[in-house]
Amino acid sequence: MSPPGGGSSSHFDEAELGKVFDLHLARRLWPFLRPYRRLVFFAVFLSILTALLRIVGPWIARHIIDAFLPPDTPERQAGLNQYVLLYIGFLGVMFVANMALSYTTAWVGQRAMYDLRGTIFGKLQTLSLKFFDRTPSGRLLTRTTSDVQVLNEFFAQGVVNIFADVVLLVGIILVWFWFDPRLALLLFVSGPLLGIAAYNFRIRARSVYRAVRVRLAALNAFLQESLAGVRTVQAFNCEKAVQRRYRELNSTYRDAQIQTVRHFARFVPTVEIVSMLSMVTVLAYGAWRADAIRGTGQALPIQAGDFYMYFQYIVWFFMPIRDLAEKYNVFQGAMASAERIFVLLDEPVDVEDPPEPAPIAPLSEGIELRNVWFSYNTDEWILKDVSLRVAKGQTAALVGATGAGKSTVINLITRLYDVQKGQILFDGRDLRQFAQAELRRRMAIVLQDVFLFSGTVADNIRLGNRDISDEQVERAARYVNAHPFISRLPGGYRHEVQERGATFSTGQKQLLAFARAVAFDPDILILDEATANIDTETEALIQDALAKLMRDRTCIVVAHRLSTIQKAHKITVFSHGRIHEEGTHQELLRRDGLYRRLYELQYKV
Amino acid sequence: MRDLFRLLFPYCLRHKWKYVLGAATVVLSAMLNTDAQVWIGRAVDYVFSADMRFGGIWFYVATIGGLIGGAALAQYFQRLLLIITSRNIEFEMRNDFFAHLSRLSPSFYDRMKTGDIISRATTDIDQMRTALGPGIMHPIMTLGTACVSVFAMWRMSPTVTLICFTPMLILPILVRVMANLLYTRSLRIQEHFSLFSGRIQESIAGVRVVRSFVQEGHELDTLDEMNRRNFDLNMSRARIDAAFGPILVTAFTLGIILIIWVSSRFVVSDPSMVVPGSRSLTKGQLLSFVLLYRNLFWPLMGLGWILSIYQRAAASTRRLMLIWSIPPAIADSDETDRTVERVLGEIEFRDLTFAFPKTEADALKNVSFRLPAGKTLGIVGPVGSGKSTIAHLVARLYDPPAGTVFVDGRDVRTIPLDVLRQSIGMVFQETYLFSDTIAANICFGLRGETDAQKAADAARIASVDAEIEELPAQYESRLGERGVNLSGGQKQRVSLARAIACDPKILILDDAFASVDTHTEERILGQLRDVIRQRTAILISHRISTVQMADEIVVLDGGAIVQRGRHEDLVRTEGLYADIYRRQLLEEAVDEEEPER
Repeated sequence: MSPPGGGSSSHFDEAELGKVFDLHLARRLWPFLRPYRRLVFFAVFLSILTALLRIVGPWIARHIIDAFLPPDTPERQAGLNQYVLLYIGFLGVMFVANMALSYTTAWVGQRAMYDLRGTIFGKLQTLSLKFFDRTPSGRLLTRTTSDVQVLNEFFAQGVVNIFADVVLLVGIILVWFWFDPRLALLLFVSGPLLGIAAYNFRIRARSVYRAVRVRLAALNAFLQESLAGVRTVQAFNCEKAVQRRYRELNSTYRDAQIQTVRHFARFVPTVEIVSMLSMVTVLAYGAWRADAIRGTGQALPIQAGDFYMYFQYIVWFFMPIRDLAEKYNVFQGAMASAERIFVLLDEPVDVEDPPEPAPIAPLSEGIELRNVWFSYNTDEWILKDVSLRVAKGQTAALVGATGAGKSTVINLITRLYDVQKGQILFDGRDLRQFAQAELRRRMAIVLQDVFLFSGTVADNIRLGNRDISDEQVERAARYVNAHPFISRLPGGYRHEVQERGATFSTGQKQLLAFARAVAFDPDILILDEATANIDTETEALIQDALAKLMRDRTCIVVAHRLSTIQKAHKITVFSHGRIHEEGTHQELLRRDGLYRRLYELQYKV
Repeated sequence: MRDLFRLLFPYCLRHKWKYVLGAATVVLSAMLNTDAQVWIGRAVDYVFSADMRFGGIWFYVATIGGLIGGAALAQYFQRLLLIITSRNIEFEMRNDFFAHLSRLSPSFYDRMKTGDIISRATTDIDQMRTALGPGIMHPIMTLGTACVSVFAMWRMSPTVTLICFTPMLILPILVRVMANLLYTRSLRIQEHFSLFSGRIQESIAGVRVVRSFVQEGHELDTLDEMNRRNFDLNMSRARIDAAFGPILVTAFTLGIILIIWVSSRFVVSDPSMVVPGSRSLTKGQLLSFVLLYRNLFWPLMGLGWILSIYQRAAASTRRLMLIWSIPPAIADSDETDRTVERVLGEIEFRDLTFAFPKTEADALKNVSFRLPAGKTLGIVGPVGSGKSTIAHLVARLYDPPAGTVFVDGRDVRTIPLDVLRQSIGMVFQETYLFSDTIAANICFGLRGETDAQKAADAARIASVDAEIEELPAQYESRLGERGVNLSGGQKQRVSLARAIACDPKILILDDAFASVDTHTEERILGQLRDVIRQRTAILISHRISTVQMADEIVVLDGGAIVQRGRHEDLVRTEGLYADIYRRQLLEEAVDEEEPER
C-alpha cells in the first residue's frame, strides 16, 4: 500500500520571485565557493584586469591616430610601427586574460554545482520515507537540476562579471572626466537615460514574457492532453473541435509572441539611436570647442583619435547598462532557487540513528511489535495498538483486506518510518537503538512492485554490493529458478534492463527480486506478495522458490498465496488497522470468521 | 537540407509579399545606416577643416540624425514584417502538425511515446521558426550591409578595402566551425544530463529499495560518478567556449589595427589637401572606415551562427517528417460509401480474429455475435480476455479485418468514419477528462458547443448531478491540475454523462463502474435503464451485476467466447460465468462483515 500523498508541503511550493539580493542566503552559499576561494579571487582579479585593459585599448589607438598619422617622417613611421606592435602585444595579453577568466569562472561554477548536487544527494539519503511520500519526485528533481543550474548562472554571469561591469563603467567615466569634464557631463546624462529606458523595457517585457510562458504552457498542456486522450477524441469524433481549440490557444500564444517582437522592434533601434546621439554630441561638442579657439593658433582640443576613443567608449558604456535589467532577473531567480535548495537542506531528519548505536548480532530470539500505533499523516491511525511476535525461524503471514495495515507493518519493521506510540523490538531491544544500516543489513525485502534500476540484470541482483561476486549472483538466480529465463535474455546476466523492467513479466520480476533477497542472505525475509495474475508456469516456479527462500528463515509475509498461508506458523488477520484474529490456517478456518471469508474470496480459486 | 526547404517553401510562398517587403526594409536600413557612418566621418573632417563654423555642424548633425532615425524606423518595420511573419508561419505549422496528430490512429500512439511526440511538436517546430525568422532576416541584412558598405569603402579607398576585408571572409567559416564544436559538445552534455536526471529520479522513486538493502552508499557513488561526468563534459565545452569569445574580440580589434596601419600611408593631415580620385584618405574617412568595419563584422560573424541554425533545422525537419509522413491508418478511403448518413445500431461480428498491429498473439479469436438494434449485449470475462478490444473495434479505433465487423449489415470499414463515430457514445475503462469545465467535458461530443441544459440533463441521468452541484462553481468548475479533483467514481460518471449527452444510437460502457461500489452501481444502472432500452448498448464488465440485465451475455476468456446466453441460464450452468457470480456474492458478504470505519 502506498501511504496517502497529501500532507502539507506549502513551504515547498514554487515561490513568486522576490528579493534581488539576500545577504543571509549569500552567506549560506559562500561555503560552496570557499574551497575554491583562491580561484574565485583570481577570477575577480582577472575580471577587473580585463576591464582595465579594455579601457586602455582605445587610448593606445587614439595615440596612434593623433601622434603618428600620417607617418610622414621616419620618426613617426617608427613610432607608428612600435605602437602597432605594442597594441598587438597588448591584445595578446587581453586574449589570454579573457580566456583565463572565462575558463576559471566556468571551472569554479561547475565545481561548486558538482559539490552542491552532491550535498543534496547526501541529504536526500538521510531523509525518511515520510518526506518522500509528501514531496512529489518532480520537485526534488528540480532542486537538484535546474535550481542548481540557476545558481551557476548567477555565479558566472552575476557575481564575477559584475566587478568587470562596475570597473568598466567607473573607468570610462573617470577617463571622460579626466579628458574633458564638460563633455563627460554631457555624455554621462545619456547613461541613466538609457538605463531608465532599458528598465522600463524590462518591466514591460517581463509581463509580456510571462504571458508567453503561461500561454505556451497552456498550449503544450492541451497538446499533451489531446494526445493522451486521443482515443476519447477520436471515439467522440471530435478531431475538428480539438483542432479548433488548439488553434485558439495557439493564436493567443502567437499574439503574445508578437507582443515581444513589437517590444524588441522598439527597444533595439532605441538603443541604437541613443548611442548614435551620444556620438553626435561628441561631434557637436568638438565643433563648438574648435570654433571657440579658431584663429588663436592653439592646437585643437579634440583630435581625430579622441573621436575614435569616445565612439568606442560610448558603445561599451551602454553595454552594461543595457544588460543591467537582465542581471536583475538572474539575481532574483538565483535567490529564489537558493532559498528552495536551503529549505530542502534544512529539512529535519526524522528517522535518525542514535548517537551511539548498539551493536547488532544475528537474530536469536525474534521480532516483536508491542502496542504499536502509527499513522502516515496525523489525521488517521493506520495501525491501532498492534502487538505481534515472530519467533526466530518462523513464518508469520499477514492477511486482510486492502488498506487494513499489512504493508505498514513491513514498513515499520524495516524502520522506513518510526512508530508514533509503542515499540518494535529486535531480540528484545528497541529498533531505534540500532544504526538503520546495520539493522537493515539483517533483512531483505521483496515488494509487490519490484523496482528495477537501469543497469544489467546482475546489477539488479547485487544492487551495487561489490562483495557479491558474479558466481554468487548466478547461484542465487539458480536457487530461485530465475536462471533459465535470465540465460535466455540477450546478453544473459549482462542484459540491460529497459525502462525499469517494462519488458519483464510480473512473475519474472518477482523471481529477480527473490534472487536479490537470496544474494543478500538475510536473517529476516520480508515479503509483500504480488497480487497480479501470473501465468501458471511461472507461478509454479515462484512457489518452489518461495519454499526454498522461507525454509529455516524468519519470514514476515503479506500473503496472497494459498501455499504461503498454509505453511505459515501463524496467520494474523488485520482489519482496519487492528488485529482481528490470529492462529494457524486450520484453527482460523474452524473459527469460521473473517479469515474464512477472505480465504474463500482471495485464496480459493 | 532539401527536405527543410521543401517543408518550408509552401509556407513562405503564402507570405511572399511580407518577405519581399521585409527584405526591402532590411536593405533600406542597411543603406541608411551605412550612409550615417560615412557622414560621421565627413562631420569629423568638417570639424578639422579650415572653414569650419560652429553653426555649420548642425547640418551634419541633422543629416546623421535623419539617417539614423530612418534606419531605426526601417529596422523597426523589418522586425515587424519578418519576425512576425515567422511567428505566423510557426502558428500555421503547429496547427497543421496538430491536425495531423489528431488524425493518427491509436495504434500509432501505442508505438510512440507521448513525450517524444511533444518534444517534436515543440522544440523541433521552434527550431523551424528560428530558421524562418532570424534565419532569413539575418542573411539579407548581412548581404545588404556588406554590399553597401563595401561599395562605400571602395569609393574611399579600394586598396585598404581589399587588404582589410578579404580576411573577414573567413569569419563565417571560423564561427561555424566553432559553433558546431560547441553544439556537438552541448548535445553530449544534454544527452548525459537527461540520463543523469533520469538516474536521479530513479534514485528518488526507488528510495524504498535503496534503504531496505542499505544501498545508500552505492547510490551516492553512482550519482557522484554521473555528477562528475557532467562536470567533465561541461568543462570540455568550457574549453571551447572560453576561447570562442576572446578569439572573436581579438580578431575584431586586430582588424581595426590592420585598418589603421594599412591606411596610415594614405592619410593626409589636412582634409582640404585631398584630391578627388587620388588614393589619399582623411582622418574622418579613416574613422568612417572603422565604423563601417564594425557594422560589418558582427553580422558576418552571425552568418556562421545562421549556418548552424539551418543545420539544426534540417535535423528537426527529419524528426518532424518522420511523423508527418505517416498517413492516418484509419481514415475514409475508396471503400467508403458516402451515401451512408446515419446508423440505426445493429451490430454484428462475423468470425472475427484480431491481433493488435505489430503483435503476434491474437487478442480475439473467432468471435461472432449479432446484436439487433435497440438490444443490449453484456460482455464479461477476466482481465485481458479481450473485452475492451471488442469496444474499440466497433468504433474503429483499431481497424478490424475486412468482412468481420458490421453495423447495420455494412462492413464498418465502408461507413464514413464521422458517421460511425458520431453514432457511438463510449465510456472507457480509463476515464479521460480534459482540463476544462465540467460542462465542457460533458458536452465534449457535441463538437465544441457547450449547452448547460444538456450537460445538466446528462449529469442527472449519470447520477452525478448532486455532486457537481455541491461544487463551488458547479458545472463551470474546472477539472485538472489547478482545478477540482474528482474521485475515480465521479470521473467515471462524468464520462458516462459525456457519452449520454451526444445522444448516441449505440452506447458502449467499458467497465464504466469499476471505481464505484456495487450499491452505487445498482442505483446508476436503475437511472440508466431507459437510456439503455432506447438504443443499442454494449455493457462490458468484470462484474455480473452490471450485465445481468442484458438481452444476451457473452463470456470471454483468452480472446474467445466460452459461454453465451441470458443471466438466468448462465448462472445455472457450471462454468466461468457461474464462478464469477459466486465470487461476487462472497465479496459482498465480506464487505458486510467488515466493520464500518
